[in-house]
Amino acid sequence: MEEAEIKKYLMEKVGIDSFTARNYVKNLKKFPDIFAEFLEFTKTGEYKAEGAVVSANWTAKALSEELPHLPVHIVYEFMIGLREEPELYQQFIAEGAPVM
Amino acid sequence: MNGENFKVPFDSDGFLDWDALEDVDFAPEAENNTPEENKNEKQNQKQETSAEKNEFEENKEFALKHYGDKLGFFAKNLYDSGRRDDYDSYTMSAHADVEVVPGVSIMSWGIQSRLIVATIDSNPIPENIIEEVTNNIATILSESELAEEIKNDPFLRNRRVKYETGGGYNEMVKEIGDKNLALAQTIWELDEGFERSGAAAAIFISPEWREKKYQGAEIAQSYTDEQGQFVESVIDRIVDRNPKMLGELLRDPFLREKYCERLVERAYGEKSDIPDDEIDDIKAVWYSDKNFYESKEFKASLADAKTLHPDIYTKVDDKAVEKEVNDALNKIPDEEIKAIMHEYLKNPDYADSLLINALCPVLGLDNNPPGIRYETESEDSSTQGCYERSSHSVVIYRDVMERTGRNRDRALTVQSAQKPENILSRIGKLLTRPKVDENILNRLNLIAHETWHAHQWAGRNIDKRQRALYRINFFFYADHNDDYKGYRTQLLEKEAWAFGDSFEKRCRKIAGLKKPQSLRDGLKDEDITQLS
Repeated sequence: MEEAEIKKYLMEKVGIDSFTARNYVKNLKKFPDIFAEFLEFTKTGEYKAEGAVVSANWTAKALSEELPHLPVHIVYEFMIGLREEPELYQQFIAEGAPVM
Repeated sequence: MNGENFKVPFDSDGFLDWDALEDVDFAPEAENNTPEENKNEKQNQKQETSAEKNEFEENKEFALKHYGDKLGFFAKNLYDSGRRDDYDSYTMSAHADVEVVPGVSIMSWGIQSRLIVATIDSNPIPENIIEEVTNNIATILSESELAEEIKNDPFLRNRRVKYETGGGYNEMVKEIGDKNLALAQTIWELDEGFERSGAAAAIFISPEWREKKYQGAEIAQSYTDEQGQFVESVIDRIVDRNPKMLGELLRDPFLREKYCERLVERAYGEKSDIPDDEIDDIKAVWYSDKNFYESKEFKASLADAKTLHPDIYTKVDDKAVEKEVNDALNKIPDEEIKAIMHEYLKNPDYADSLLINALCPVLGLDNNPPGIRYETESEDSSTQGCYERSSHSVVIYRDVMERTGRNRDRALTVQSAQKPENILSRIGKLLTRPKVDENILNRLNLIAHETWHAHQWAGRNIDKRQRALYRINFFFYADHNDDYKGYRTQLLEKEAWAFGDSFEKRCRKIAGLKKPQSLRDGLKDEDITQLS
């Protein structure tokens, strides 16, 4: 049910296709705390400020402020990436996560 | 038993008795001849050779007249071929499409091992149909006029008849549907009937039929395997005839994968080239249909591509990338880079053109330098720049550059692009270090990055295999809005990022600048304490 809610949000609000959304949710589920926070975002539309999940010293809110051009689902991809491949994602952040 | 009193033999179950047929001697007069008579007959045959053409024409007319819609196609083909001695191969066959019993047709007649072979369009052939078909063949053979002609015809009388399944190709055609049939017909130029190659093509292009473990499909597939180059044939044929149709075909993930394999094969083959028009036509078809390119099926291809082509997506050879990038970079003299950086302090737009001009000879673009275009608003709010293949241009999005990247503190005020010239001749030897800031370095990086993309598509100094890999990556480009890491680590981007970053590093060294202070490393310890 919660997975469906996130998937629905990704498809309707973010505008990504169902296949990508499903894979995204699958990835998100690997970290229940990140999953829960993203679910909360889908309801409030705001990044959690207090008691937020931390990945390698970053919260989603801090990331979104540092890299304002990133859409929410990529912010949470970074939250996952900072746990799985911290060096790589720290590098992306240091570069400003640009798109060329 | 001999052909003088030919009667179609049946076994006790009413089926054609093949063993008995094998014993039939259809040319008893030849055996009864004396050696002398045989010798004379051979001499006569030689004399007849000159008259063969006329005889063929007469026989063809005769066959068409007498065999009509039953053996007519076969006979016509037979006589048209004019190759009487080549009857042990399958080369003599023809469409017939004669409905011998309701719903079951004889697809073709052919010659195989001295037998007339009727290929029945059904698979499997139901038992009751077998009997009817057998009787029907027997009827055809025993019809007074036809039987007589078979007996008397010097060619046909030595032939015996058997039937085999044709795989039910025509049945397939009905189920495959008009669209795939049209494609198959295009592939094999079939106007009527449906030969094995066409059936194989139809099966090949039809996901439903590939899934079916249908005997006909196996036969057709084995046929394609025997041909060995079926994929190549299909693709080459369609590319020649209608590349846009290939785009339609390649909506199918199986065919896309096959096509990508073919791209690599072609990269190594004698032709060794993949026209960009082909790629463009295919992608034009794909990206004209949002429902398609956002479909689960197409997205699945992206995922599959990552698995199937790890050297493009998940396991790019970092050392190879580094070597390639450095080899290119080392060919640009420090003085030229320094001069360009000086120009960035005066006229950044002009400096952009100078930079591209300096990179082109190194990147195999000297005969085909990309243009440069500045956009003030981008559709994608996060993209600083791109390489646009359709116009062969480096495109810079000013607004995004101002908001993203390392330095977002000041706007880039620049003029329109100017024609580059030999900067060294104008500026002369520059001794001072250019006092460029992070903004300019970011811009240098971006221009180098996008020019590398231009090199990937238009560089004349690219290894064939590498070029094919670029094309595959282009087909299945990982979008930054779907997967940022996937976007950054795919071959096309990994190279471009490496080149841009290395170039920036070189510029930084020339300018005597240290690496920039990295942005925040996340939260400070006290922030984390507050959160928890």
